[in-house]
Amino acid sequence: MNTLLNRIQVIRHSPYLTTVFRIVLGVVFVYAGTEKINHADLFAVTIQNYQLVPISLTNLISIVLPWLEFYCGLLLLLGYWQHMAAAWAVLLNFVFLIALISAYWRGLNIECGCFGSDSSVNLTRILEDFLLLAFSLHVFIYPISAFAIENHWPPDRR
Amino acid sequence: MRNKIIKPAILILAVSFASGYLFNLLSEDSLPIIYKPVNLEPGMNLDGEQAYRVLREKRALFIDARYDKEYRAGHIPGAISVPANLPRDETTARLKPIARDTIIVVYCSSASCLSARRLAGFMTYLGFRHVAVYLDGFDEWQQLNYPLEKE
Repeated sequence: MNTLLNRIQVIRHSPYLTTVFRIVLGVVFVYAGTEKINHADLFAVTIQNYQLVPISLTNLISIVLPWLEFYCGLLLLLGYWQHMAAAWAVLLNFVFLIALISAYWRGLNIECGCFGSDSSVNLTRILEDFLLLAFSLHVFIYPISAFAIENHWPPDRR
Repeated sequence: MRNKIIKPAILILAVSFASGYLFNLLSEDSLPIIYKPVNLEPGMNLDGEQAYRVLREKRALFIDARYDKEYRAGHIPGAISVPANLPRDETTARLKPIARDTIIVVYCSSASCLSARRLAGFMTYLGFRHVAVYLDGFDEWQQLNYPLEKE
């Protein structure tokens, strides 16, 4: 029993687990970001359909948010500034989760806007996002990972 | 903590903002950073060209007030069908999920049909704030060779 707990502890703190999670997150974020960067006008309409932000801000969000996703995904993939990128990932995934749940709750039949494709808001999307939130929380809590650029070239060394 | 997370987090936000701004500036159909909804007064009439522009901006919801059969034969892309011959309860139910500040363009066949104007009046009564009527309607839309959708 004790050894099992120990093993879980070891796995939980493993830099390899963090590597797996940050790469999954990175791929998803880069993909989702680029899809939306190329279709900012459609993404603005998707944001509008959620009816959560004033209509005047929808363009601003659709212009900035995809780039934020893209850069955070890139940093997670490279393993540079990954603690900060994971913090953004936690925040973004949390906001997306709230938006998805609220849309689902209100019974809105709208596009998800998750990956720029035209899948609608449903339980699968909510579970996916929940999983991504869990991954990003893990990377945030255990930010030491293997094969990261910052292991060799720490960002705050002056 | 502060220096390790908050500073780069703000930096990356600023970089995202700059990238988005530049990319949007250079892209073919750039969006206004702050979106100002077309102020459609209740009962305002659009001509074909204006209606087409509103459609291309992808902001407005088009509502087809013609009969179901006509709607099936062809309608403005993305338009939803709310035929004039529906009972009031049904009309209200179909309009219920639409946000009240959505830009709405209602149309029927031509300027001589009353259903678009009647529906627009009813929607204003329901609390929709930006309802316009495409007066010359679907007949003109077809003549101008604007895109259609069929189902």
